Amino acid sequence: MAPDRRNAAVATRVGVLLAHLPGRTGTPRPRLAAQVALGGLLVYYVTAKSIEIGDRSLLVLLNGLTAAALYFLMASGFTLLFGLVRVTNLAHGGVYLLGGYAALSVQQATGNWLVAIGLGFLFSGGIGIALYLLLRRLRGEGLRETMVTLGAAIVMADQALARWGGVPSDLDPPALLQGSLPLPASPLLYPKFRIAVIGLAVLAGLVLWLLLYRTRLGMIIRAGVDDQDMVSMAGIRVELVFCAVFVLAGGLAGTAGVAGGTYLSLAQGEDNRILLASLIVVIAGGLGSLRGAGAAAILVGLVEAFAQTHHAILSVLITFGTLIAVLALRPHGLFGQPVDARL
Amino acid sequence: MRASDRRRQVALPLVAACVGIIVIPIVASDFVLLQIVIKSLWLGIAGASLAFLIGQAGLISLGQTAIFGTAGYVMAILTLSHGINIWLAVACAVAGGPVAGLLVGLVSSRSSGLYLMMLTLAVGVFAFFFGQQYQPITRGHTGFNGFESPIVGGVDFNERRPLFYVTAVSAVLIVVFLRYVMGSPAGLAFRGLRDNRRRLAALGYSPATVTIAAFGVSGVAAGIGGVLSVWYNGAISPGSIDITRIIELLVVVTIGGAIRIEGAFLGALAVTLLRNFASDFTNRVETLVGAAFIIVVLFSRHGILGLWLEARSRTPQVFGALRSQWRLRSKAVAGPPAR
Repeated sequence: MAPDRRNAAVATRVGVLLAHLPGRTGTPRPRLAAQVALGGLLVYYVTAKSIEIGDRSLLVLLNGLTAAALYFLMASGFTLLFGLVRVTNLAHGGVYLLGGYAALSVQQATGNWLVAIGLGFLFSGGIGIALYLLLRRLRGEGLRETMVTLGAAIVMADQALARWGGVPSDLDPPALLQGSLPLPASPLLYPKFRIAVIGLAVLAGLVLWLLLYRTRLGMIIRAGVDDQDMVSMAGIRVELVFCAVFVLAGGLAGTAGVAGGTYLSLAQGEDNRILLASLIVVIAGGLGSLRGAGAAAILVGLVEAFAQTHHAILSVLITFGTLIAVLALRPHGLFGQPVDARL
Repeated sequence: MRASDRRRQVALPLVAACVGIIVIPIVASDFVLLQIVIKSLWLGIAGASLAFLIGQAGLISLGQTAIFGTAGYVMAILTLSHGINIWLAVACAVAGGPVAGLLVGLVSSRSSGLYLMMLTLAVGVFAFFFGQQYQPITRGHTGFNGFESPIVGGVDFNERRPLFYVTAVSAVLIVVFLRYVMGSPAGLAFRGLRDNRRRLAALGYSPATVTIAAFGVSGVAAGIGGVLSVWYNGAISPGSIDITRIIELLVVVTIGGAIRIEGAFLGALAVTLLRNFASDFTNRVETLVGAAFIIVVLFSRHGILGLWLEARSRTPQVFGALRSQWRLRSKAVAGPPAR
């Protein structure tokens, strides 16, 4: 333990020294010093722990990225919905579960995973439309809208229980993605499907980025985030765009449900677990920010995987601590803008 | 306010509550007393903590179960794991409520509105997972079973009637306490937070501090609710503070109406009745509860209490004075009369 402690002390001192390098004004900055010192300690700790388990830290990294992929699929829809329509959709976890279950039924009927994920997307997009219709009356009353989505979450969870029962079940991955890949420079294997999930999230991120920043619809959506009234003044039917975003968000959650239902499992309570994770991601990333959702998904996924490996019993505490730490440094999240408090 | 008005406002509900405490155990059957009355009382106490936050301070907290659960777990851990004297445990648990409340408030003090709602939801779900994961202390998934309420001087608090008296008297005390706070300058600061955060800050108050204080006050009620739930169920587990319970509290408050803290008891009664009698003819009770919740939120701003007050305000002549009073007040603030 002694050398460990000495190294830690050195790391702290280096951090303090670095932070005392003159800033633009030439004055020492104690707050920054503390942050750098803490950051240094953290990096040191994580590195030390990772070296301790050797090769397997590669698995931790990949597990973290897989979880991040799932969280990103969830959080991107959530954050889009919030950004444009100002709806906090607490039924997002329910859509995840129902989308996954619908795909499960399709797969059992057709045996085809691709058909299953396609129909899962459509089905959950349909739920998105239903939510849109349900919430239309309450436009602009954020808190009441949120409560309605909470009620919808109860109904969805109960209906999933009624239709698919309480026994955990999962989808079979497509034949192409069954089995494992050897990891480079180590004797370890990693399931192909999990790598595909990472790919899926990257793809979804790319498509979303193209949609938002390279198409007319994306332009309208971004304009709607800034000023809805002006957009409708320009002769655009904002309601249709809202509906489209609901479909998109629902579809993304359903896709996440199919992916999660394949490499994890679908069960009662999964909806809440995934909702909590995506809430943490969205809050840490900054509400309404797609970039934030991506960055925070990776952060939360990696922290969670690391904590589950090294401190299984405290993992929730550590994940949650990350959120608090992020909010302490940036009250509106990593990439967030201040949200009108009276929403 | 005239002295006679004040007396009517304070004395009438108190007398009604006392009559209720005496009459209900005589009239109600054992089933009704245990399954409906006592249950809706402790649920109402926990709900009152949320109704206070929503109705007075405008803070929609989904983290009340974290407070509720802290008190319940402190109670269970001290008595069942450590064998500490039950009254000492009760004292610690009841004190744990406001402490946990202050902590939840501290976490969420910099946010408001939707952000606060999400942050407190994260806190509430965190408490659930903490209970489930941190086995050495919380005993994980199974939690604590076989809690025995105390027996004092031959009165067994595991029995229905003594349990009813304890719960009902606590409920009355909680309402009196919350109303006392509402009437104090602190209550005015809470309503300031609800109505106009910026103006509150301009007046020299720190919105963050007021938020923390409001959570602390609500923690008193939530903590006592948690302790009573352990007395009632004889058990506490992560299941008692899961997301279903988080939503249940919000449902209770919304259905009852957050404009007055008493609405929570009304809502708790409605939900308990629905749960008990709907299960006779359908297995999908939760769907029914969820649908009822959605309908109430869609069609009424202040729940059952709001509907009643609205109906009363429409009644001509008889309540003319009340009506004008109510109209004035409901115009003055988005929320409702303060006291």
